[in-house]
Amino acid sequence: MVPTALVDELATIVDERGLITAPEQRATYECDGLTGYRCEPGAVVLPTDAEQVAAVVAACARHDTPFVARGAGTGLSAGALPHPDGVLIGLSRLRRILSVDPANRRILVEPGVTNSEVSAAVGPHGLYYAPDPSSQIVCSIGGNVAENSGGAHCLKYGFTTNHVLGLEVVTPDGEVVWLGDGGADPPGYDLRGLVIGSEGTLAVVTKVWLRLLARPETTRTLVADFASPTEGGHAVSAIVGAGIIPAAVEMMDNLAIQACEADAAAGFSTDAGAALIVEVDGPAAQCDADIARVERLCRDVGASHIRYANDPGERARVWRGRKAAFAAMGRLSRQYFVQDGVIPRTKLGQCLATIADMAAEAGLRVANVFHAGDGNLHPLVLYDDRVDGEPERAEKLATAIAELCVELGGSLTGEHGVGADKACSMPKMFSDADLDVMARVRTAIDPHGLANPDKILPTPRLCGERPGPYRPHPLEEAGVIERM
Amino acid sequence: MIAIADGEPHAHDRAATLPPARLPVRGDGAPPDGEANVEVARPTSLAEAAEAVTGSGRVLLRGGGTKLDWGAPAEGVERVVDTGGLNRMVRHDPADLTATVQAGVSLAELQAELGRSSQWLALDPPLHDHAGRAATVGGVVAAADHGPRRLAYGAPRDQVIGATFALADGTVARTGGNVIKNVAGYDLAKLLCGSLGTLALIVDVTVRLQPLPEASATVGVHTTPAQAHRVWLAVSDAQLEPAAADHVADLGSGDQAGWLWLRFDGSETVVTEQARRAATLAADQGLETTTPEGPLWDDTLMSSLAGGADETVVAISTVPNVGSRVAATAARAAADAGVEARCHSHVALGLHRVVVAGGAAADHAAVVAALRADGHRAELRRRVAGVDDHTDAWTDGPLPGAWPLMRAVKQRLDPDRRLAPGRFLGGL
Repeated sequence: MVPTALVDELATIVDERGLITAPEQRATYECDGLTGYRCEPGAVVLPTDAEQVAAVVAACARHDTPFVARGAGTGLSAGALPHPDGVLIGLSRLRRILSVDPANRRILVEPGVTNSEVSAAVGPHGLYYAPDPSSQIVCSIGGNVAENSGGAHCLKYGFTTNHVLGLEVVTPDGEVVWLGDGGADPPGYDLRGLVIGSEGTLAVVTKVWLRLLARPETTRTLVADFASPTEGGHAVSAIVGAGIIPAAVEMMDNLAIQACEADAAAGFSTDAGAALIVEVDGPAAQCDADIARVERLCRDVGASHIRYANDPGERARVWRGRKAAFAAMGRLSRQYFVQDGVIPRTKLGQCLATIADMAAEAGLRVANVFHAGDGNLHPLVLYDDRVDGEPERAEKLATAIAELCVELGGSLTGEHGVGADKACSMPKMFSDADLDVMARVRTAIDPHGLANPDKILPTPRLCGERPGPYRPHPLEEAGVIERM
Repeated sequence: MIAIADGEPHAHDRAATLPPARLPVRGDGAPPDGEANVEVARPTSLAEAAEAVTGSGRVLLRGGGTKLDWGAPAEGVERVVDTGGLNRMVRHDPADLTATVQAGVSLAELQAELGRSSQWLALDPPLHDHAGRAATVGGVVAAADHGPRRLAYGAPRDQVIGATFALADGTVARTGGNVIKNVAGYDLAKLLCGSLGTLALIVDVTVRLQPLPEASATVGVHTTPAQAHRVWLAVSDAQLEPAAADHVADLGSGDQAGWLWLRFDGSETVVTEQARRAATLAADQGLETTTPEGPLWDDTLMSSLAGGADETVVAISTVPNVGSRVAATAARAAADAGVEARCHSHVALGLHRVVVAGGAAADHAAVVAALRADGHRAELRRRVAGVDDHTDAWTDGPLPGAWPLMRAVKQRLDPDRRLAPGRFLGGL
């Protein structure tokens, strides 16, 4: 519930379409891509420009009411999970492309513009926007900024934070400020870099200057089959050791391949233990030399089959197969939890072996899709919600896998974010002092704790006295939210 | 929990211990001119580092002492904390392309060590200042210094994936991690990059690495600053991928003509072909081309960026396609003030350094004022004595709208304002 006085104020800021208070309509916004957590927002507003966003946030501040920003709702860490007594601010109506500036290799967009719309807009100039999350057809730039999204090509090209030149944001007191001026370096402290990846807990983004690149001259893609992911990992090590930085290196294990083939028929070998997709791009001569070396290295490690995907149609097919992996899991299982842990690449074999042991012990199947070049795993823990206790076991396994990644020297999350999903695991990765400094910085920007509270940092309310394996969310126990 | 090597390598590391970094030429560790009776602390461990920044005095952090005059002069420094004793490579994982190095290691020595595995930290700022002092990794990060190959590889903020730091209250904390892909928690390393020692003492940084390119080829094109940007666009539209595109011109001539140096990195045959194609593009536009004589990137251009003993370096940031105005404005101002000037531009990035020589400090300040009056963000780097009496190191105009947020961050991390007070933008 939000104060009636606030609702009345919101009604004066946004148009009729832009204020949603009816319960059955608010329910539309009760979750993002992590559908296991649902919570009805107190109210929903859908502003149409930055001034409205600022006025909404200022109104929330005046009424001491929390707010949660939402892009396309494709997030996988419950970053856009609403607050039951807060306002859900949907940014999807801020979807204009404001300036295309090819001479300066940049574009100014509103946060509701989708990732792939950006590349489409600048394609005629021979330019593109490099970060390519698998959900790029639908995910929003604002969401990409909030999560510092990566994608398959981030090994070579980096993440959202390496491609943002400026941000117009609304701070938690309702002020509009620019972080960065659209040039290479923001003046003063790099608040631009701080806000990127801050998951909506510091500010609401209302405009973004994005950096563009010229399309590479050539792209070469191959798919190599191996007997197991461990061998595939050896191939990746060999490639990196040879001084080649591919544009993308993706791996799928046998279970993931089966799902993808059943769904997208992308031409992967269903009897391969692992499929490795390697893509190089850049000057033609460099690509040709590099992909030839990649093929040789894969064969040296024992690749059973190599397939080139060099015409655009064939390459698109390969990537469609890979990017449909999560959705394709529906072929194998009613439900899944997907994790997002990162490990040093050299620990891949050990990590996968341990995951397999843990899965066997839990009596569950885990399919593995991952960005092999940077060690970002996406274990898909498959479960059937009709089987008693299986969802709980699956969630426990998913959390254990994320924490295993930390123990191996990696990270809880490579691109999906901490959100609500992994906040209680943060003490596994960071010390009390580390988390305290983060909290200090957060308080500096959001002194009243209104910007997407209960995300990123663990709180006793969220996690109980001691961090550890999953325990039901207090709101869940109170019957306010439910797990599906 | 990520373990921190408190001066000792991890037992399981392929650890490399580097020799101690060279101390600044002022051998007794004397701080910037004009200060006396200042104690110098030289911690050799994480615990000592934390201890060194606590207490009640105002503290100036110092690596190689090569960029102490970046930003405004710090007020009333009572203690210098010298990072020369934090001089170890904590870990280098070549197969993972990451390394953790303590702040006091010189960048030159780090590159030499990484080079033994055919890798490098993809940053090419000046390795030494005019007096031969070596820039440290911590200092490069704290100053966010960069070089020509920022075009291809990015700035310090794009290389740092984790850091250990000590706050003024003795808190020791870590941000980021040991893996390149990581979005867990706030990216506090971004705040540390460029903070000039006003938020924390950086004890070590974890960085991503790149393979050393097999070869490099460079072509020079004779252009005015405006032509340089057009040539860069033509080269980029032709899908050539230079690692650097720097225009350098003495500003005495009427049209600020100089040389646009295009550098290509990669396999031997590929870079030769790229350079040839770039030269052909330039020739097609009627522009003269050449190949460099002598160590252009490692020597000539580095000195140009760092500035000499009697020079003032002004760092200007523009949108790339108006970069030519910087050279024109600086040329006019230098002529008016009767001083010499040159302009070194990273053409594709809109980052420029105008270097002023001769005349008096007030004349150097006049050039700065002219650049700002033309609407450019112009910040002081190294400078001759006295320039600060005539101009602010950061800006003549209003502070950015986000400045109150910067002040709030500073207040939370250094509430007693003891870390280089007054040094940062707006007197923070």
